[in-house]
Amino acid sequence: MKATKYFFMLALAVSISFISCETEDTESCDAENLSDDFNCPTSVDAVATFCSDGVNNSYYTFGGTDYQCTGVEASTCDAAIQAIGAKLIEAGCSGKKSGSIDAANIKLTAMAEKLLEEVRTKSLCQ
Amino acid sequence: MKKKNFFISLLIIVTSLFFVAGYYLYKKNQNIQYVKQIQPHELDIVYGSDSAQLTVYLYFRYDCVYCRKFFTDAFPPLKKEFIDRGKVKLVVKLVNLTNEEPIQNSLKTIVCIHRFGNSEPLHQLLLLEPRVVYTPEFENTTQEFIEKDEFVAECMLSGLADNYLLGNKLEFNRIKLTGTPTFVINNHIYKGFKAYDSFKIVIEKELSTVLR
Repeated sequence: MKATKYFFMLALAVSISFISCETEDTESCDAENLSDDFNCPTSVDAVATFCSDGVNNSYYTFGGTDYQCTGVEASTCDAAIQAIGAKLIEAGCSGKKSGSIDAANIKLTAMAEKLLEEVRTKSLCQ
Repeated sequence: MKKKNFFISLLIIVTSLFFVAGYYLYKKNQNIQYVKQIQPHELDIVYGSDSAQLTVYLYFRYDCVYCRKFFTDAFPPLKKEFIDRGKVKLVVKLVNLTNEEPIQNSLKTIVCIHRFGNSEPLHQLLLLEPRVVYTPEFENTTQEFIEKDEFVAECMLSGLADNYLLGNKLEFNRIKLTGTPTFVINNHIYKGFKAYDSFKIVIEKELSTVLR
């Protein structure tokens, strides 16, 4: 009878350990200072936190509020950044300096230049 | 008595393991989401034959690293092994999840060029350097297309391409997708980038369902 109890307990332990070992999607977060983006004075705390589970979900947290992104990457967080920007402007920042990407900062590689030329010459039917 | 205890214990363990395995199978199936049939569109970018046994829909953005990685890493062997052999058709549905005009214009350009010309050079360029869409050279090139080809101009300026991209975005939201790349195969949703070996397993599994 003792042996039965022993094995029953063992089976229960195995089952529980299997179920408890199942992992949820792990989320990682990074602090991001938005003061440059929104021209904030040093008195304004412009640090937001970007969190992503790498699979389905990402969001920014700022001032205790979560701002949901539409995808998993930071590039899908335009609306969230806009909402945080509005809060920062209320707090004394002067606003976003420029558009998202400055064309002057993009240097095309020789390969990209070559492909762009191919796009120009080989895309349309003759 | 000892022998009886042993068999009872063994039975309990086997039963427990059976339930654990059942639980895991149940959870595994729960991870595959189901969706209503995706509708094809004339502006979709299609690789493969219309008579292919299996259609793979791909929600895709050029401004997404793992989407580009799919095309550079997994697509070449997928094309060789499944698409060129008439087994699989890949239907790319471009989505713009930003409010950025250069991105919207680049997507309009590629779907219209694909419909009325050869989109491969532009596709390769956007895979290599997606930020090219912000350059004046790119803007000038799209303008040239509009001036040189009336069909491309009509497609880009009449709202056809804009409506198509909006439709893709609405569909993306309707089926509650949250990121790209996302694949829809046989109404099953597969989220995220998969290396070719993993993707091949999915394709073979879905192909076997179709052929059954």
